[in-house]
Amino acid sequence: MYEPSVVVRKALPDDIPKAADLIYRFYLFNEEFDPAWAAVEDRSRAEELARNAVESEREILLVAEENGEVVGVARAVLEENPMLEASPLAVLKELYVKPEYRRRGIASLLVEEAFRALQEAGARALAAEFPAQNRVAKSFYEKLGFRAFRSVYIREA
Amino acid sequence: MPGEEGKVDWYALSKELHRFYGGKIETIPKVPVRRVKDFAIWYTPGVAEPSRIIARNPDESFELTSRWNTIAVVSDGTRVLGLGSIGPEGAYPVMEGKALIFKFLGGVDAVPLVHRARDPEKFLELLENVEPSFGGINLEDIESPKCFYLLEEARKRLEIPVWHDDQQGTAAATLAGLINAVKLVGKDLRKARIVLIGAGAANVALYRLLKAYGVDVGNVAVLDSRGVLHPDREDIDKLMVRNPWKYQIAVETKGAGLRPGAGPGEALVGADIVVAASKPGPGVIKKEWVAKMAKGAIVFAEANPVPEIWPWEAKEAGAAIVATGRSDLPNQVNNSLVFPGVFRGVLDVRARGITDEMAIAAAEEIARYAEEKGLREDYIIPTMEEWDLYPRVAAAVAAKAVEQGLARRTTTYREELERAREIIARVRAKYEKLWESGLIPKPPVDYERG
Repeated sequence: MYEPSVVVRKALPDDIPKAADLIYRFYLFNEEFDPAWAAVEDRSRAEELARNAVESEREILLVAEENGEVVGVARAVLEENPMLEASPLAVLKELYVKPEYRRRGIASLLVEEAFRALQEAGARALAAEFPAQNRVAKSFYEKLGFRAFRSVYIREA
Repeated sequence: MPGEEGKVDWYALSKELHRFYGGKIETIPKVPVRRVKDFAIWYTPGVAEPSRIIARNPDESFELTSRWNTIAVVSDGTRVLGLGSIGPEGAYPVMEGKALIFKFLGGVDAVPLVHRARDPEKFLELLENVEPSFGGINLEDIESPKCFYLLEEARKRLEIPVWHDDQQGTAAATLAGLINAVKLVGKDLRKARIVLIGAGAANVALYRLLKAYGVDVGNVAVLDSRGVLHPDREDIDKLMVRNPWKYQIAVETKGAGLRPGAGPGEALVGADIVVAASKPGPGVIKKEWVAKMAKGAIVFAEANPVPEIWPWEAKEAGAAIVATGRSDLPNQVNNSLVFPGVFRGVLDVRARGITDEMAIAAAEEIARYAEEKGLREDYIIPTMEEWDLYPRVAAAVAAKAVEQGLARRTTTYREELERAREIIARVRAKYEKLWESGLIPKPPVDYERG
């Protein structure tokens, strides 16, 4: 489902406010599955996150753009574990596509492009984070050939 | 003012008469039983033969038993009338009332089936398990959004018609009214700017029917209590998870070009039509909002017992045509115009389902009926007293079922019109005999002048 009218590219400083809004929406969405995914009220944190990603060499922030509008976002980071053969891992931290642009393959484009870029930076495997209860994400990544790799359990303090 | 406590206290009267009669329906034999020996035909040993035939071919159950004319009125009692979640026993009088109307207006034998399977999967399992007893299922008074899932799934899993009256019944009656209302003001429904206030069972189903009817959904704004359904709304992903029906409307309509979070006041500016199925008024729709609608505005305010705006207020604000859900006001948008005929039609052709196209065929027939009688701004939809409407709805629905390949038995519009007339007339004649003979006892209070 390649979508020719959509461009996936690295985010530029000008994209930060819009990308940050979509990053924030990623957490609003995932809060539905687990309250521990609830985002802080302070939305400027999302902007900080986006800005760091644009500036850092260990991270990548991509946007999907259609007709000049930012319609999707993906942020991935390099994660080291000296014990693992697979290290460094490229870990996708947030992925979000606006509702009216879904079911057209844009999320897949974002995922593949994020990992391609981080592979160039040395990543040896690709991982994605999402709430254990998020069945939408689970089936999405399984379709792209991912499998469950590690479990993180949580309990409120 | 209509609705003011006038002559009759319906609650007190209803309580007394329900107690006096001990409910409203019963079963009565329809075959000759002239001597006890006749039971050898209707029961053992004779009955073994029809049983064997049906065991070989289950579809024969529609011919050799009363299944062909029997439906279940099913509710878990989670959203009863204006009463809320009052439980299955509390829902029983309502389902029994529905069964009474089914018989009286459509000649359909309907059985109340209230139950405790509130969990959607258990509810569906129950429907699948009792399917062999019935020729159709009428779902009733079930909470939203569960009702959407139940209807969708039950339609797929069952080989008999499934209908949720709070969705399709209300929506089809509304569509019938809209078809005629736009004729009176000289507009095209398919191009009209339409605002639906309330995104519960009735309006979500109406949206689906409008779309199937060919309305441009980019011109339809659907609002819930938090404003217009819009893909950029903050809670959009919450909707995707919890209410995918509302989510889909948001994505398909793109909020009809309104800004995310726009309320009814904003949505109604320049609108041709508003259909409110939200919460009792008055004052839910404000006069100043109606004043900003397009010329020839059509206002359907369907909440009960009090419409979202009183008709005279809407008229003062410039509305050309107003409809409500009330029988004491003109243009009552009433499910009872729809479901008796719809079920008469699907049962007579032994249909495997009821599609949205069949609901639209019913709406178009209802609209045509009123049009033939002569449309006026206070007559865009027939009233319940117009008895000859029901066979016509049955005929239109049966013909559509045949056309769509969903009928186990073929028929034509003409043929079904005759058949439905005869079945309904016979029920009424039987009832009249029982009544005149005194076998149905006279009520202990005289309320006829009420």
